[in-house]
Amino acid sequence: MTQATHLVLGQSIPGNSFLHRIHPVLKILILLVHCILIFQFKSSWELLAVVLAELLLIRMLPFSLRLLISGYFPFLILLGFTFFMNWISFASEIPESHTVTFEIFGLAGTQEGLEKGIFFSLRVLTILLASSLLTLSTSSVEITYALDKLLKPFKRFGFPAEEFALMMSISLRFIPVLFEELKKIRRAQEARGASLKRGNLSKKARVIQSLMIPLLQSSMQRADQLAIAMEVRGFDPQRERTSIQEHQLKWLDASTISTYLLCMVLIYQIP
Amino acid sequence: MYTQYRMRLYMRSALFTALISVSAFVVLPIGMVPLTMQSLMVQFAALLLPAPYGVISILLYLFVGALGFPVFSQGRGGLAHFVGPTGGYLLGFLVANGFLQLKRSIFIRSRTMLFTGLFLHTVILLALGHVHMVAVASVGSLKAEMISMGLILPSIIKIVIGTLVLDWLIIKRRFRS
Repeated sequence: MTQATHLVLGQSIPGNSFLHRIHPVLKILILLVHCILIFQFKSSWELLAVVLAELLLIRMLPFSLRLLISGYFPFLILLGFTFFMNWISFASEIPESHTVTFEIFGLAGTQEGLEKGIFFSLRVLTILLASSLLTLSTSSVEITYALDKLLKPFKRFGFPAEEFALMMSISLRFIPVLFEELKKIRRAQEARGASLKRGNLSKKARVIQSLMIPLLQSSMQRADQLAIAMEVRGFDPQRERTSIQEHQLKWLDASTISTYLLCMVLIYQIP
Repeated sequence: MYTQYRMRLYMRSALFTALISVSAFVVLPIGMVPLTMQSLMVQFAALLLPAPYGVISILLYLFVGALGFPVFSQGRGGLAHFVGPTGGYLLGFLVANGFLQLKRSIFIRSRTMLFTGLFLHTVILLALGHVHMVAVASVGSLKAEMISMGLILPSIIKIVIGTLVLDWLIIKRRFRS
């Protein structure tokens, strides 16, 4: 198993870059705002500028871009599918104003559709890169801390903030682990002859069944072990807790958020 | 008072959220359309976790996605997807899971009831998704119909697989709950 497979969503890498040193609450807030701001952009060029800026930031983290691409390979396949879905539509539904570039079996690709496809794929890519910037540079402890701080105001309305923050960060933390788990189970079943590549539909359905059952069983077992481990350490989410690393807002954070907003406004204003 | 039981259920819902997120990316090569196991995992959450926890894990999933983590299908994330073309399915997860969880004890009684439960879940999901596509996301009605029609056959395959898996886990009692 190569190292690349470990680098998927939810994994963090240790380091001391400026991205690592930003306040975690601020990072999550920026991601939230970013995902809203991205939808205000109406042209592919603006999105491309954002993607390039994000790639530049990823270069500052101590690992290579090639690993990121191989880690996100399944994503990129799905992205390609989105692209084609936007590009090609039914010939009868295309408005008069669109220029049709080709037409096969009642399906047609238009110039407008192509532009739309590029636009939507870029938009998905920007969010993908932004969230990986966050998860790569923030440890799960910091994410729990940040979510806890962010959800605290809702506690007044009877919302179980601590539990929610804990569960959210645990589920984020376990996404790469379960990815690995699924890969292992798939290989193990392939070694036993249950491959998804051959066979008819009913055989494939049986193969999927043979993947699902061990995956569910093992992940529930993991959950139980986690709960027991927490229980024996006397963990109680509702108790007031202290953190070994108290984060405070620094000049770095102020300059980060102002630079971020400045960049977004600049990209938005320069057409 | 915090019992071990409650902590276990919390952890299980958290892991189910992770499972739902993972299954959104795993593409299984059946037929022409890239088929993901996401709706299947959502149904498993509704029937394998006791009463409110199948809904809690969906809430967690929507929360994580809303913050901007790309856990929604095809690597999407962010608040805006709730009004996008696939937003209906996201809200449908919540509604359909709520429905199954209300009557969970009936649905897990026999294989036929499991099948019925998964079928109803799928119907709610597809109906909400379709209505949302036409009414909120303003996808062309012909295209929306084509998309919904295209989802029917994969959904049937998924219901059959889901029944097989849950039959093994619940009816044959291989699942430690």
